[in-house]
Amino acid sequence: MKFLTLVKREPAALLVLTGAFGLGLALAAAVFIPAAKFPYGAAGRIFIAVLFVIFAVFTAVYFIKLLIIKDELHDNSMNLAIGMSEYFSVISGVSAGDYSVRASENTGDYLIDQLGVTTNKMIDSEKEMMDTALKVAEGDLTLHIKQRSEKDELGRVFGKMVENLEWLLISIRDTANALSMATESMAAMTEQSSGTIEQTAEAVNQIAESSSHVSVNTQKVSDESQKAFKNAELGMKEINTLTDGTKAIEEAVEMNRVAMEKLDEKTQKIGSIVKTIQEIASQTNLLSLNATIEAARAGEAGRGFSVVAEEIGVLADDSAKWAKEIVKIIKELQHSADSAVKMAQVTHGEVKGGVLLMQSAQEKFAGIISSFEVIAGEVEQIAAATEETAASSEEVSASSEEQAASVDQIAQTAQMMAETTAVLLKQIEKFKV
Amino acid sequence: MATVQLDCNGLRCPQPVLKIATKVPEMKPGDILEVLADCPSFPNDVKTWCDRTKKTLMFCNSAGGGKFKAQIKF
Repeated sequence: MKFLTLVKREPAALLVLTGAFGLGLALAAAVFIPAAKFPYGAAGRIFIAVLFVIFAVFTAVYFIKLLIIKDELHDNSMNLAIGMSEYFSVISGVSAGDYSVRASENTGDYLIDQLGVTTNKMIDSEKEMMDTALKVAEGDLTLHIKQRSEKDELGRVFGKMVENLEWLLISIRDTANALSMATESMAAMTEQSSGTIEQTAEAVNQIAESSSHVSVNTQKVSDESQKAFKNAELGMKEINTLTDGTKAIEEAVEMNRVAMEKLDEKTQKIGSIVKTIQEIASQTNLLSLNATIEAARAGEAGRGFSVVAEEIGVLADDSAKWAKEIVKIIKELQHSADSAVKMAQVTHGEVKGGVLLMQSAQEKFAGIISSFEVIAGEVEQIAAATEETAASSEEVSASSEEQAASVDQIAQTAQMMAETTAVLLKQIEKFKV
Repeated sequence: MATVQLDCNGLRCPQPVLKIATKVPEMKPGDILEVLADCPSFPNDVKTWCDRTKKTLMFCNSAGGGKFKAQIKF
């Protein structure tokens, strides 16, 4: 190597060396090649030797040139290698996210320099993007993202992201404002609900009280209707007894009437017997007259007979007289019997009317009893309904309490929501949109 | 303070230097890279590389048989 460096620095020495080499070759040719072989003798030898020398010079020059080119190539490749080496470090840093590195732009190699320039541009644009991202992170969403070229997908996507973020924040802000308003009205509504629930609770308490009154009254109605039912039953029994009695009276009256008729019959018979007796008395009188006449004719003999006849006449008169008396009594008796029969008929009619009235009363009592049965059923239903009402009132009351608790919770939630929304709005204010 | 071995035998200029360059991101300050190479221009090349990239060349010795051994401190 030292030799080559020397050759590069001292070309004259190389020329001497080359000449010596040529001369050497020429001498060697002169010594080893027989003279007879050369066509022009000594001149021919010299010519050949000169040719060798020229050839040797050209060869040496060309060899030196090659050596020089090799050195230059080595230097260039080293330059390129070192440039690449440095660039490798830079690109490794960038790939690890380190933007503080910078590629060398004057390595002496054009390609490496251009690579450096482009890489530094890339680093600068990444830094710019980073600065923009920092501003976005600090809350400024109004900035416009530049697209480095038509193919700058990152720039386009980043711009879109910032734009969407801005829209998102605006819509969050609007929503938060709406939420704030909604929360206020919710708070107002919970207050109203609270009032309504209290009123409901009061109303339910009143209903419960009323239903307890109703329950007491229903019990009273039940007791009273029970009593009335029992009384109606008793009344029914009494009417039945009365009806039986009235029927017995009817029968008795009927029997009475029959007896009266029989009496009338017998009285008429007595009347006809009395008539017969009267006829007998009149005929007996006539006979006594005849006997008296006959006795008078008979004279003294018939005196006794005449007395008897007279006596018979007297008896006949008496008989007639008493018969008349009997007829009178019979007439009175018949009159009384007629009255009695009439009375019995009237009584019979009255009794029949009584029986009809009894039957109607019976029917009425039966109606009253069935009405009471219906009433008892209704009262039971009322009692059941009242119990249900009481139970429902209790449930409603419990529900109202739960509702009140829920409304309280809602009110608390609304309060928390209002606070959260306020915090949210405050946070959103940090962003510039 | 690790010492990393790198075999560049059989590689010709400027490949050993490029191979060293690929190792750089792995190295930490204070680490030592020990390189074995048989390229004749290696001692000069490694010196030039260390000068340009501001690394400390501890030594570059001949290991016999046209081979070299160098240590670079990062």
